Amino acid sequence: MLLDTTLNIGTPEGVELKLPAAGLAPRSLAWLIDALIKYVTIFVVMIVLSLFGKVGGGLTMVILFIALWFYNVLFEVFNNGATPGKRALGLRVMNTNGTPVDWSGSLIRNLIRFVDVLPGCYAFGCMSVLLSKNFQRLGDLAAGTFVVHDPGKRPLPKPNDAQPVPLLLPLTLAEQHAIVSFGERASMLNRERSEELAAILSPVFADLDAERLRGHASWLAGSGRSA
Amino acid sequence: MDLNNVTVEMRPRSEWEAVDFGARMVRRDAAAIYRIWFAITLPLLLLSVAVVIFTPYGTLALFLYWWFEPLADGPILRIISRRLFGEDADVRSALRATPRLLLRNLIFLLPPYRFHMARSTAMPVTQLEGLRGDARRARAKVLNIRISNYGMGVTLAYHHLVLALYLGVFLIIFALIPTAYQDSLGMDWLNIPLQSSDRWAVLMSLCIFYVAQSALQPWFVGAGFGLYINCRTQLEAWDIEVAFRRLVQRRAAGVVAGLAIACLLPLAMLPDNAVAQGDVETPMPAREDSGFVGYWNDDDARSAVNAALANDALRQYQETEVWKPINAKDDEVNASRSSSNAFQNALIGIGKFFSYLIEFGLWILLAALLCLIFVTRGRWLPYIGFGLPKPQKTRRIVLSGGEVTAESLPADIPGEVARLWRANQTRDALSLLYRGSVFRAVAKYGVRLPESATEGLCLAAVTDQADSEQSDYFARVVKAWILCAYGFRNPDESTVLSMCTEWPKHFGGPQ
Repeated sequence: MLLDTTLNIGTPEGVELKLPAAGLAPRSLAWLIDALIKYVTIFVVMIVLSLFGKVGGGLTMVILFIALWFYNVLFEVFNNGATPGKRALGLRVMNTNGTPVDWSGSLIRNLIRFVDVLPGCYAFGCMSVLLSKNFQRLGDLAAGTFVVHDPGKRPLPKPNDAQPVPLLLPLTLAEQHAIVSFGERASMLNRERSEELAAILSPVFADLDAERLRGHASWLAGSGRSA
Repeated sequence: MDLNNVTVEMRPRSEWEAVDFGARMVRRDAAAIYRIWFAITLPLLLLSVAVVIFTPYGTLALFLYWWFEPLADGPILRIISRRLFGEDADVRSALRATPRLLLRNLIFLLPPYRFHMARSTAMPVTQLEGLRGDARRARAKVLNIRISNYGMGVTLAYHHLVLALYLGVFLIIFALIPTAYQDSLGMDWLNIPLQSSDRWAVLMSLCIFYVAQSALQPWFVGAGFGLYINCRTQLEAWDIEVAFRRLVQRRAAGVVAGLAIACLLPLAMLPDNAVAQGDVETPMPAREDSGFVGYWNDDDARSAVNAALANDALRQYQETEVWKPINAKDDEVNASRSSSNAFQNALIGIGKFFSYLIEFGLWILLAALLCLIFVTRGRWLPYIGFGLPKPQKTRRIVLSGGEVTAESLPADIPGEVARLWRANQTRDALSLLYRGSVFRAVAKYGVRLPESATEGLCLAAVTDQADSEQSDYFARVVKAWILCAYGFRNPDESTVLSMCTEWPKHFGGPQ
C-alpha cells in the first residue's frame, strides 16, 4: 500500500472515489483569512451600531452571536462546504462518507470548535490535525467530517495532436493511463526527458521513440478510430 | 534515487496537497525523524540552558537557540528523502552524515538566509541536488518560481502555529494552577511569555518554546519537501516513469510465468494428475499478469471465491454490553425495606396517584384529540382531496426532447417522415417517426408513461398493451431511432420507407 493522503470511498457501483484530505498548513491559513473577514466585519458593524444607543448595543450583541457561532455553519451548509477562507485555499468540508456536509454535521463540528480552541489558541485542534488519520480536528472527529482539497475546475491539458499509431499489446488500465498522460504532458517536458521516458519502455516495444509513444498515446486516447 | 522502489503514491498534486503529503510522509517515519531531531537539538537546548544559568546573558541564549535551530532540518530531510525511495535510513547513518549536511546547510545560518521566507522549499534544492554556487542558484530559480510562494505560506502557517502551541502550553499549565494561587503565581506565570526577563522565566520560555517547536519543526521540513518533490514530479513526470517501469517489470514477469506454464503443462497431463493437484498455481496469476483476465472456468472461480470467503477478514464479530433488569421481586423487597416509615409511604402513594393520573391523562388527551379530528372532518376533508371534483386526467407525454402534443406533430406523419428522409434530414425524420409512434400508441392503448421516459420504457409499456404485430412494428421504430440517435447509424432507405407505408395500418390515417 503506497502512502497517500486520500480518503478512499468505494461506491456500490464499484467506483472508487479518492478524496485528498487537507492538513494543517492550508487549513490554518484558511482560518486566518476567515478570522480576518469575521473580525473586520464585526468591527465595522460595531462602529456603525454604536451610533444607535441601547438599540444598537442590543443589535451588536445579536450580530456578534450570529457571527461567532454561525459564520462557519451558514457558509458550510449554503456554500458547498466552503467558508470564504476555505474557498480561497481550495478547500471544502465533507462527510467522511463522501457526501456534502449537512446541518447536523456542520453544527457539531463548529460547536466542538470550542474544544479545539482549548486552551485558548487552538493547541488541541492543531495536535489533533497533526495526529489524526485524515487530518481531522476534534470537531471533525465528532461530526464525522473532514476537509478536502477541491481546487475546482482545472484547465484541461493540451490535446495530444500526434498522428495515432495503433498499439497492439494488452495493457492494464493504469498503464494505459500512464501512456495517455505521457501524450498530454510530453509538450511540458524537455526533449531529453521525454526520450528518456520512452527509452524505459524499449524492452517491451520495438523501436520506440518519444514521437511514436505520443502516437500510441493518441491512439489509446481514442483519436483516429473510425466510428 | 531509484524510482523502482518508491514507497509513496506518485502523482501530480496541487501545491497545498503536496504540503499535506509531505506532512503525511513525516508522520509515517516519525520514529526515526524524532530520534534524529532530539539527538541534534537536545545538546543545543542544553547548551542554551547552560548559558542562561551560568552567564548573565539570558536573552542571548534564546537568540542562540533560535539562530542554530535550522541545523536539524538537514538530517531530517535526509531521512525523509531516503525513506521516500525505500532506502533504510537508520539513525546511526543519519548521525554519521550529519556533519557533512551541517556544513552544506551552513548557508542557511548566514544572516541573509536565516530570514529566508521559504527555507523549507529552498533547503531540498541545496542539500539533495548537491549543486553549488551559480549552478545552485540557477536551479533554485527554476524551482522557486513554482513553489516559493507556497513555501512562504507554509512558513507563515508554521510560525503562527508554533506561537499557538507555545502559548497553549502556558495556558494549560495556568489552568492546572490551583485557584487559591492563581492571583499571585498565575499572573507571574502568564507574564513570562510577555515580558519577564528573570532567569527562571527565560528558562521556562526556552523549554516551552522547544516543546512547541518539537511538535512542528519536522512537519515544516516535510511540508517543504512535499512541495519540492511534487514540483519535480510535475516537471520530470516521475509518476509516468514509475508507471512505465512497472509496465516493463510486469511484462518481464509475464514472460517468465509464461515459460513456467510451458514447462509445467506436460507434467500436468500425466495420467495420475499428481502434479496438477500439488502446488502448481502458476497458471492463474500468469493469466492475470498477461492482461487477459476473463478466462476463468466455473470451478476455478468457485474455489477462488470460497477461498476468499473463508478468509477471517470477511467475518465480523461484535461484542456488545447491554443493561438487563435484575429480578423484579428483589427490587420490590428493597423498596419496601427502605421506605419503612409511614410518611414516606404516604408520599409514595401520592406520587403513584399522580403518575396514574398523568398516564391516563395522556390517553384521555389523545382520545379527545382523535374525537376533535373526527368531529371537524367536514372542514379538513376537502383539503386532502375528498369531496372535491376530481381533476381531469390529461395524459401528458414528456420525452427527453420536450413535451409531445398533437399540435407539435404534423397531420400526415408518415408522409412528413418520408419527405424529411428524402430531403436528407434523416435524424429529424426518425425522430418524428418515433415521437409520432409514441404519441399515437399512448392515444390508442392508454399507455401510461413516466415523465422523460426513455426509449426502453416506452417500448416496454407499449409491448405490454399492444398485440404482437403492433409491438413488433413499434420495436422496429424504436430500434431505428436508437441506432440513429445514439449510434449515428442510419437504417436503409427501404426500411424507413416500408415503415412509413406500414404506419397507417397500425396507427390509422392522418388526424
